[in-house]
Amino acid sequence: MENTSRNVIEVRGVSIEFPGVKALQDVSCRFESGKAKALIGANGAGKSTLMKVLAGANPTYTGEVYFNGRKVELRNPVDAKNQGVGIVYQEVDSILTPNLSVAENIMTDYLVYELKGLGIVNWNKLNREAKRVLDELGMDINVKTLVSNLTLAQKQMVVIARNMVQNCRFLILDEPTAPLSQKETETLFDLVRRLKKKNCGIIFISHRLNELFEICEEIAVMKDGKMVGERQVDGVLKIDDIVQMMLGGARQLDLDKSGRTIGETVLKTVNLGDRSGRVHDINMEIRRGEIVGISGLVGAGKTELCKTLFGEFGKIQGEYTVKGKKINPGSPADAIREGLALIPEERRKEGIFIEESVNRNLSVVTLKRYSGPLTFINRKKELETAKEKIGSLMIMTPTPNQTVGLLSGGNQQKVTIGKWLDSNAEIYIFDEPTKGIDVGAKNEIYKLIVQLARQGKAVIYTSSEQSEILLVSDRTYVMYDGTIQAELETKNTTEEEILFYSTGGTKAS
Amino acid sequence: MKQKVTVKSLISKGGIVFAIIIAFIIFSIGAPKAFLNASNMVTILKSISITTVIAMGATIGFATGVFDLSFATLATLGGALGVTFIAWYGMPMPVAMIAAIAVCMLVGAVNAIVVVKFHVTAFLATLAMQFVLDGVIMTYSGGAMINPKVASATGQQVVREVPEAFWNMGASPWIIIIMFVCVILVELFLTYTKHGRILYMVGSNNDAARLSGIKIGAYIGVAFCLTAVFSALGGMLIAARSGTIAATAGSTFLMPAIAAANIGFSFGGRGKANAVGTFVGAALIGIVENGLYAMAFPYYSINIIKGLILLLALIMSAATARAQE
Repeated sequence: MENTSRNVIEVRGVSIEFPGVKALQDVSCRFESGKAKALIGANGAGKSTLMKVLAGANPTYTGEVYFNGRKVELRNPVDAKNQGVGIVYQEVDSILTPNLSVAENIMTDYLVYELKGLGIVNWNKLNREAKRVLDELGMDINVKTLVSNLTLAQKQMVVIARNMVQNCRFLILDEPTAPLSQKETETLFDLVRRLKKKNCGIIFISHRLNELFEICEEIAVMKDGKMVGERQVDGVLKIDDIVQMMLGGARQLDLDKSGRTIGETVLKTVNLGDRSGRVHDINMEIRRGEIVGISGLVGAGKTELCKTLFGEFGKIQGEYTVKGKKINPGSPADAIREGLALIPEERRKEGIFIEESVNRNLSVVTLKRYSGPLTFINRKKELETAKEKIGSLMIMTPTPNQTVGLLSGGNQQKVTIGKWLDSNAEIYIFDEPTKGIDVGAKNEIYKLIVQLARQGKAVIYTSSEQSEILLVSDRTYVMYDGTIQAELETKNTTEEEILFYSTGGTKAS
Repeated sequence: MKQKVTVKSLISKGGIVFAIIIAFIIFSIGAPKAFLNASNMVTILKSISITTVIAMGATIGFATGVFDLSFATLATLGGALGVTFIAWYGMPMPVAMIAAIAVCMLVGAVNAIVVVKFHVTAFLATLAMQFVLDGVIMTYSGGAMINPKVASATGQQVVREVPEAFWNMGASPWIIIIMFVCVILVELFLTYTKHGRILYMVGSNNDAARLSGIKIGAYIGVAFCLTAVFSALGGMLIAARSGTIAATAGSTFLMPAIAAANIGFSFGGRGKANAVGTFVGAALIGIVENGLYAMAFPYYSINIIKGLILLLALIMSAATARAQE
């Protein structure tokens, strides 16, 4: 396992095209063992796609990959494993078997491939081997514990240990620190340093720039499927330099937001947080007619904030005032009664009823309005309202009775918005509303949101894309690690500044 | 995107109706005298009535996305209580029936609390409840078959004679009328009222339902309690028809009721549990069973055909669901 000579992976001119998208365009990059190289870029920049190529999970790539100067084909995960490439995906739960012990999970390969003959497991050997690997990595986990009892951080460790058993020479960590606490992150970094000493190459994907400076020797920046450039972490390099590279020459879109009157404050929080600490110390204020952005990278707690405001996480801590009244919603139903509306991020899972018709989706919030004696639904009235909404939102559907699941993403999103239009909602919370929606539909969604603000609604707009926040919002709160890192006036800020705070930067006072 | 009338869509929407027609034709040819006559049609309706009534509860459960496994055993309890409340405790018939239904609803409420508050999967929670109920019924009856005409094994004396009106419920035409009333009520409730609609929405996507302001816990409670109502009623029909209640009287209806509800999913292309579909599903099973008897098919092999019909129906509704993806 000990290998003193340097191993090198070279990627040359790799491209991948998915239907309608050039996910990677002529990307070249070099990774060396014994070093940690960070790979960064905005969402959709192509980092994960590139890593999947190395892990053999993207078999359709064009271009060449060399291991120590020898050309290799990485057309399936076994190819990658044979070359010694291991990957730790964000969703560690999907790779581990929760009902088996730590030892069994670490020694999966041994159990699956090496157990010959009658297939009788030598438990002593299995546990001893697993423990040896964990000890080498300096991890203190009982090998006989069931994986389901581990914390997320420990599960990550188990996946890393499994990779080590498989003679991994390059380890890809895909945003490993996003779900970790400060202390757990420290432990992970210790492990990374240890692995580097053992001549393992680390490829580290993260949004948290200040972390990368601590742990990585090199930083490669990607944007729109291309490699923008690489820099050495040499003590001179600053977060700002990287932010500049990430943004490149971003173009500014235009959106007419005129015709709104900013009214009184309708939502105000003082040190708000949820009971489990997903978000904490939130101080924010929103007025009628205003569009307030919540920016921050994936995992910063934006969705959690939206759901906390919406009562999804139960009672809150701190102070929460809506329309001048102190409230503490214990459920979404309570929040809706106070005049809130949520357009959730996971549209198909939380926003729409995919098997139901457009009509039924549009009336679900306000069914009471259509129900007469004995709660019989006035179907004619329901259908008429649905038709009105379909017209005003320009939902492209052949009939109101079409199944929503058959509509495009953009039209599904309009349905999600539409269900609130005839409710008493005055505060609309949009959680990444344009995720997975094509450009044309995006613009229509923006216009709809402005339209709501013109009607005097207060809008909270969550996005991890800085350009979108700049386009849509009047003001933005930047989140990092579950709380608000900064409040910025949109007209006086830049993508650079938002990104600076999003990655954990603090004001140099 | 436009929905075309194709052979495929016709089959997936009206599949069960076609199946019934085909079964009718086959049996009419195969056993023209025994099968195709008015009195046999009444016999078929009578034979499916209890299954249909009990399956109405299962239908509401499936619509809400909860799999209640205890509803058939609950029917035994409902039947046992209804008839003994009259015979052993001297309650007037309407009071006894309402009391029996109330007790069953209470069991439904317990099911709901276990599922909603303690986050136990409905299937498993009600599996456990089924055992509990089984034990409760055995204890209540002293381990013997309940016969309201004689004293119980536990020493309860007969204090009131079960009135003729009760026994009439189990005979035609009343049993058939009760079945149709139940089907119509459930159809109206599920398809045309606000609360029925919400049950479907909860069954379709409970995350989206909750985030749309629906108190899903309360509605799951409603579903369990309504299931219990139809179980109790079905149980009393069993008692009325057979005069006695054995400890397993209800559980023999578990599989037929689940089958009927599932066969009914595809009715009219609805793709979800619905009252009319369940009735049609029960009718299909009833007709096939009756026709096979009429054709002197060995009675011990009939379950093979019933099972195959259910399998076919499940494959069809799975195909419909996939087509919607």
